[in-house]
Amino acid sequence: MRITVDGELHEGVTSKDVILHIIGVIGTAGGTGSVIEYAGSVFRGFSMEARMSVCNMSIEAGARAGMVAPDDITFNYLRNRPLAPKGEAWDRAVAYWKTLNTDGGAQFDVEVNIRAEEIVPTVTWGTSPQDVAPITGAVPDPTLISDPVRRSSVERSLKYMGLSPNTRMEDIVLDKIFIGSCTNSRIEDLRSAAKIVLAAGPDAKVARNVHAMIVPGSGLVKQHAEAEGLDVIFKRAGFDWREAGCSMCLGMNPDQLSPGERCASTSNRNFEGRQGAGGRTHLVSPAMAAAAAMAGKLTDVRKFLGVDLSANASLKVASAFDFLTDPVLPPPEPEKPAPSAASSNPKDLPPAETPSCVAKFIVVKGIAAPLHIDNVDTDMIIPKQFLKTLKRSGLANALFYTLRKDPRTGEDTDFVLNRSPYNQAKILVCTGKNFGCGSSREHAPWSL
Amino acid sequence: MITPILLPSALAALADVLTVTGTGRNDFGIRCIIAPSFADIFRNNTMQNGMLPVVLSFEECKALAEDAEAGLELEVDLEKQEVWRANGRTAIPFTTDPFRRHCLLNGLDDIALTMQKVGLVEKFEQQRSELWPWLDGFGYKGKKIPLRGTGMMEW
Repeated sequence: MRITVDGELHEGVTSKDVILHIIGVIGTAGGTGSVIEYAGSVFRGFSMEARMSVCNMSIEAGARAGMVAPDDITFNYLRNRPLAPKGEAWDRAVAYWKTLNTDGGAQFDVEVNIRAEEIVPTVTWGTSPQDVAPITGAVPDPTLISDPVRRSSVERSLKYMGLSPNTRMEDIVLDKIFIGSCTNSRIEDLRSAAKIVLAAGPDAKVARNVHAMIVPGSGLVKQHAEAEGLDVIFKRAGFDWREAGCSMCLGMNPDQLSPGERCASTSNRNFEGRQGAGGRTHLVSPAMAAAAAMAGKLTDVRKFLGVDLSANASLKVASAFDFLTDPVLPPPEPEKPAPSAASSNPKDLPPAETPSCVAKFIVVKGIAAPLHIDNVDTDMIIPKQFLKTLKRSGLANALFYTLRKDPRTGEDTDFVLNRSPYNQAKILVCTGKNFGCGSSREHAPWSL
Repeated sequence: MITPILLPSALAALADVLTVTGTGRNDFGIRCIIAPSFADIFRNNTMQNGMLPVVLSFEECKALAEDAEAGLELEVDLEKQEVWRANGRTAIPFTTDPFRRHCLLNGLDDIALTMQKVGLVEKFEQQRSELWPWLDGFGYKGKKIPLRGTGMMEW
């Protein structure tokens, strides 16, 4: 699948807005069965870090992976990095990488073309990354949706999110701001957020009603940001400057939303319970998150543009190479494995003898449990708190945990899998499409 | 061109980890999911774990969900590729990729399939070291990457 975005982005529109807009256009199943190549002048002009944010969220678009053809921006990013090839090996590598571009005239299974000018700062209103709206827009009205499955899914999302139809996005008041995650916590993301804080004024503070945290993507990003003085800018304005980690992206550690709390988050997923049971997530870009922190509600970042920061003494730029200081060991001798006899004809089916212990599937007969939910995501199938295991067994109680247990009492709900005979089900019949979307956690099938 | 990094020793170690965890895999006991469509990665994960995702039309799913709501059993036959319904109603045919079907019928997962081709993997690795030497990385020398620090990982 090739997604081409050509044209000039409006000021204040970042790579996160571009990918959220794309997912809004093609849906969370739009990339199913594909790897997405991002093409067009917009991606050509993006830095590597901006491209990473886009490719990162290819999974939210249903694809296996995302990629941008290597070019001088790629090579300059890699050149002299500690683990990049050096000397003659570098030249060989670059020559090889230059052969990786898509052939002219290549046929894609799906082509999507988007004009850059159509994209405005984008936020999510619902519980799927495809539930997006421009910041200038409003919460959708389910009574205007004719497809009954989609309508009930929107109604369910709005109930969970505690939002009324037609509420202006800019009127949505927040409790927490999270700038972090593998999607958006690189140095450029932090710089982009810091510029908004500076533009808000030398004495501007995070709004009283929000707690705003910034979690650098790695220890190196943290050192880098501190060398540029970004931490000082954030702390001065009242942000919580944290150690690197996943933090509130997925609520596997103590950084979580409480039930009903609302967060503007730069992470990649807004599924029910993702940032904590009952937590409400609005996905945004780092600049939009910083703007939301200053305003206390979702806000159009463009209100903070136009401030000239060129003379601002707090902004200095350091090089990532100053922090890539770990010693690098010399390359190893290539391994020379002993030759072993094996042949295979790829057209034939493989031998049936197996060194694995996967159960055979021949005939399965039993009770079938009905389910009527679109886009059942793997956070719903098994929430994050059960993922700290590599064992495939013992996850029965974790299956559909948030639907099977009342969050307040801990008692079993009347969810279908709690009721006889469906607590003995061997088959699940779901009438909603795109079952199993979201995170790749293998725990989802394990718990089933 | 894709240059996967496959180390037979690492795969063997992984296979060991996965085989010692026992057979209680499909924990709730659901081995088959029937839906109008599936997300890609999840679909593959199910088949890696001896489970069958069956894609049927929305109308067929709705009919089967009605059977399910009535408490009727279903029978999913992967050899015949049919879903049998109670009370003598017509079976619903489905299709499965022949390769995937073979793997499920015989209990083969990706590790098993890879180990069947260990000779080819080794040949590839040798070629890879010659063609793309930078992919061998630095300082591993066929050993595990040493981990600094101990204890639990908090994400």
